[in-house]
Amino acid sequence: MKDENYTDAANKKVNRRDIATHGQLMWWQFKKNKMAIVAGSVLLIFIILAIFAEFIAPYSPGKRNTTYLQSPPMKIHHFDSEGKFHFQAFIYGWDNKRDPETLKLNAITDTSRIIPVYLFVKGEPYKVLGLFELKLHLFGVKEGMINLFGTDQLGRDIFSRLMFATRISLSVGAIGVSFVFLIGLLMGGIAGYFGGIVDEIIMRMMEFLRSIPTLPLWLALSAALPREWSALKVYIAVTLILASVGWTNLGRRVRSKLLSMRDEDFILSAKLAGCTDRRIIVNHMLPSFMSYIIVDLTISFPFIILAETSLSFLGLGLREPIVSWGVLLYSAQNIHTLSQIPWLLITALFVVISVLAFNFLGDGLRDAADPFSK
Amino acid sequence: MKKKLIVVLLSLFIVFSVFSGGDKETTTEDTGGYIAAPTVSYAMGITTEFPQQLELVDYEKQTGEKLEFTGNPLFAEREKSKDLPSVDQRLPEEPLVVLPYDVIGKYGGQLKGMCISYESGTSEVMAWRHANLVRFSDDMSTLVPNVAKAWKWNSDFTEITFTLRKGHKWSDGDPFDADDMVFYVNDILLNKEIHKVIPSPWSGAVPSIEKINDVTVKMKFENAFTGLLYYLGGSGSYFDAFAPKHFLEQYHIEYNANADKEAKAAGYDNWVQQFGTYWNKWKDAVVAGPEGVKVPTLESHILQEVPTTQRRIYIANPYYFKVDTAGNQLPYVDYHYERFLEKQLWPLEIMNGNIDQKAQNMPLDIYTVLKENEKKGQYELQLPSGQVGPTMIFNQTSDDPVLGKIFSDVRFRYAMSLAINRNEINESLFLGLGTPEQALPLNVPYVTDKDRKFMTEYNPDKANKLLDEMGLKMGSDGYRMGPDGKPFTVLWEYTLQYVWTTDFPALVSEYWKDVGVKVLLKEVTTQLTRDKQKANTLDITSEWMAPFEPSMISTPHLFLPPYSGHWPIMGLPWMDWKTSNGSSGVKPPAWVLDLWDIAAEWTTLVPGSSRYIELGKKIIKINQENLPVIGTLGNIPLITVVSDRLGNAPEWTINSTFFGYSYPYRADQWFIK
Repeated sequence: MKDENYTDAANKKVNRRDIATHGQLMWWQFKKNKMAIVAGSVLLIFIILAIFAEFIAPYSPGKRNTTYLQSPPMKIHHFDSEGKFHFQAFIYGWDNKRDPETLKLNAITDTSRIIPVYLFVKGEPYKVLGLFELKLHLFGVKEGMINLFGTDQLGRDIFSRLMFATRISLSVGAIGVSFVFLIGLLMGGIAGYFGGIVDEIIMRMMEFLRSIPTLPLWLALSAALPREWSALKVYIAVTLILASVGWTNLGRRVRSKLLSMRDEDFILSAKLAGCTDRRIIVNHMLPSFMSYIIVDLTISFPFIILAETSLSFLGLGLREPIVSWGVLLYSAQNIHTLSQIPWLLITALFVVISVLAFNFLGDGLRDAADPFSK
Repeated sequence: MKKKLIVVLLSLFIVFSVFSGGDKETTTEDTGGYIAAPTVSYAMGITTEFPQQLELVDYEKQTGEKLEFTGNPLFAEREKSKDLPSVDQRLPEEPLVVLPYDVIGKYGGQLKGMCISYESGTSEVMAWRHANLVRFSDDMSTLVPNVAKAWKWNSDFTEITFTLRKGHKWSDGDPFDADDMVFYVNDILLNKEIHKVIPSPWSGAVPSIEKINDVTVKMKFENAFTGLLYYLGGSGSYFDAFAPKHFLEQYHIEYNANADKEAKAAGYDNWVQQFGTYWNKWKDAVVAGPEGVKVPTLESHILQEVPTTQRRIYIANPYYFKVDTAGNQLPYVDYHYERFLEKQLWPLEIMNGNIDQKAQNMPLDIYTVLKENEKKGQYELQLPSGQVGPTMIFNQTSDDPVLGKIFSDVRFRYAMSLAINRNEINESLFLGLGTPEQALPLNVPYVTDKDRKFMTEYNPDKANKLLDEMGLKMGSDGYRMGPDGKPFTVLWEYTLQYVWTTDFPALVSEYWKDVGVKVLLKEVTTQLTRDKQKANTLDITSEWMAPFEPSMISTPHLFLPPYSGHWPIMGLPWMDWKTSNGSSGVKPPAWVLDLWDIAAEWTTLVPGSSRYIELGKKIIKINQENLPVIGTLGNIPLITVVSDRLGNAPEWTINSTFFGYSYPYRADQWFIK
């Protein structure tokens, strides 16, 4: 077949394949999947945006442009209204006028006022990674404000808010997912590998946890958490507690996989060779069901991100003044914002892209994690 | 459209006058679908003592003819099968004659309305069919007869005599008479098992009642009760003053010795509980359940079937007590169709033309999208003024020693008021339609413009100065420390019902953050905030309601702790102190005691008298100096949607948000074009 022809023709490569480490094999396999590469790069960009949000965003999330309420994304121009070329990119000035009929606030662009856009301008001070103070922003204007993605009802800059929201949403998702995996792998692994009474105890515990209805649990927790906690702290606490119930799914899968693998020949030979339990689990068993774990991971990431939105309904999710994708979307839920401020939905684009990216990346990783499968 | 119609009617009338020799003409000839008879827009020389309505005797005297009655064809079948008597038998001997606004309407059709769920707080369907002893006319300030034909006070307002309509009947055909009012006072208000103490607002006056004859009752009060009629015309709990005795007595222990036994057999704890399912202090509570179908009423429409979670349907009351000037029994509309919908769906339903009238609880921010679809949805948007914007009340009696100390310092409340940029709130959240001012009653003679503007300027510097003075030191993180030197946070648990939009608390907490006060926001349900108010565990509440009756004479409780007549909003421990005569609770500060003293006298004053103005000024002054309620905006209009197919629905001039019981229109003479 094609693959065999390929390996036959490139004889050297076959040799390299034979001596390559597991990690190298995975990387080669991963590289073949173009979608996964794209998805990975997109996520990398998101992560960079998240880490350097203060630098990339021209303003802090709460800063209001009171002369540009509910107004659409500003266009960046190089040519002015007379067709003259400006090397320096610029935006037009504007006037806020209320329509006497519909009472809608309209931003009317004033083409006579040209506001140049600069790279690396000094603006609001912030702390880089909590370490040192800086005033530099990636871009900005020296007069008024620039709102690349428009503004919301209160005149807050949607672009800036999105940057900060990306940070919160991704990091909160990461915390939840990693917690689920830590407990799921550990408990599932122990139960599956040792079996017997240990398995029995862990399995009954899982069943007990799964039988707790989540809604009353959330409500009880919301009452139990200290009131001084900020919304972010509360949310992290809730994700952790949800994860402590949510790991059971993964735990079961790991356990059943291990149970079936325990009796395989290569495990037996490893045992006979005197390997420790830890070595057998980490070096021999884990790589062989890595693909399952990766699929689970990439599926649960979007779930946690989407769950954040629904949680805010109960007053348990993130809330103003903290911004996350869920919070931003929450304000775009009704008909009048959809028709009057449609640019609020740019956030949805971010969510869709990140969810897709995670899925494509997971797809590529799954194939890569199993480099010998065809 | 309407104007054209009037012109046509006018010319027809002139033609008729010419042919009949110029006599006063009250012909009921058919004129192109509409009948020529006196209306508000063309009164044909009819004069009325009260706006837009008069008694039959008076009307017949002016027209010189006997008015013939006609009924809704909807009831023709039932009349034929002798299930219903004829319209002459159904109407009282002295029905109330109302002047329709523009034309004599047509029978039939259904009125479509919507709200969130059973309670009336978001629904006007309650007001569409509402009937009380008296009502406020469409100017929302003139009291006019309604169920009661007339009333008469004695000189010191301790006795009032009501005259009812002879032959008036409940919706099941049973006579409505003085006994029903006596029953209400003696067997409900004063019954020790139903009410351990007399409920507010009757408690201050201590009522007793005496039947003079079938249509005459005299109420006596131990203390003057000048606000009674305003209260009956307005809204609240316990404001109907009559109840269907013939129906309710089967559940009442006074009339049915077995009532308790029967109630227990039916699964209730006792007779009071069973009685409570058929009678409730809130008028709308009974029609929320299946019992509502059985309970007779005097309203224009009666519950037709058991309500579901999606809808509630009402059918015209065949015994309704009003007729139009052509002798047609009202209401014109056959059915009221009320649906329960999420608030987010409201604009969609309105834009699709599925709603005939909607104003209650409408958010202002949907105005633009509704306006853009006005033609398509075939409705008209109006913006009658009269609402007070969201307010904030800090819990001065907070159990938290630090917060309690901060909140009860008046400098803190001044600072919080000064830190708010009301102009910006107005522009960004209220379409620039409101005016920045404190939360004060409208149209009362004792409130000046200066009062309205008190502490409403945006002055963060002054706010910071006041907070510094209090000793709340600014910390390194930009937030202030409490008097104990430790950081403090204020938790603002809000509900959309009272802050209008989540952007409002978001914006206000930003302003407060700017002066160093850290506020955490949390959106919760109204039920939860009420529970927390009752437990005194809320830091800030926004539930305060603007007064809804013109003289404020029956609603002083909105301006003194606990700032509500229904459940405490702020100052629960103070109330405990008062009710326990000082043995429990917390002794309130002097200004609260002053307010309570004034309020005791206030309810005995005649609106407009010099003492009334003097004390009114005092109430306002004390509230300003201590600023327990921080207001934001006033004069905010309420979006009112009126369908194009609705006839006799003129422009709203004012609106009241208060529960929909008091209303600036007459829904019983609306008709479907």
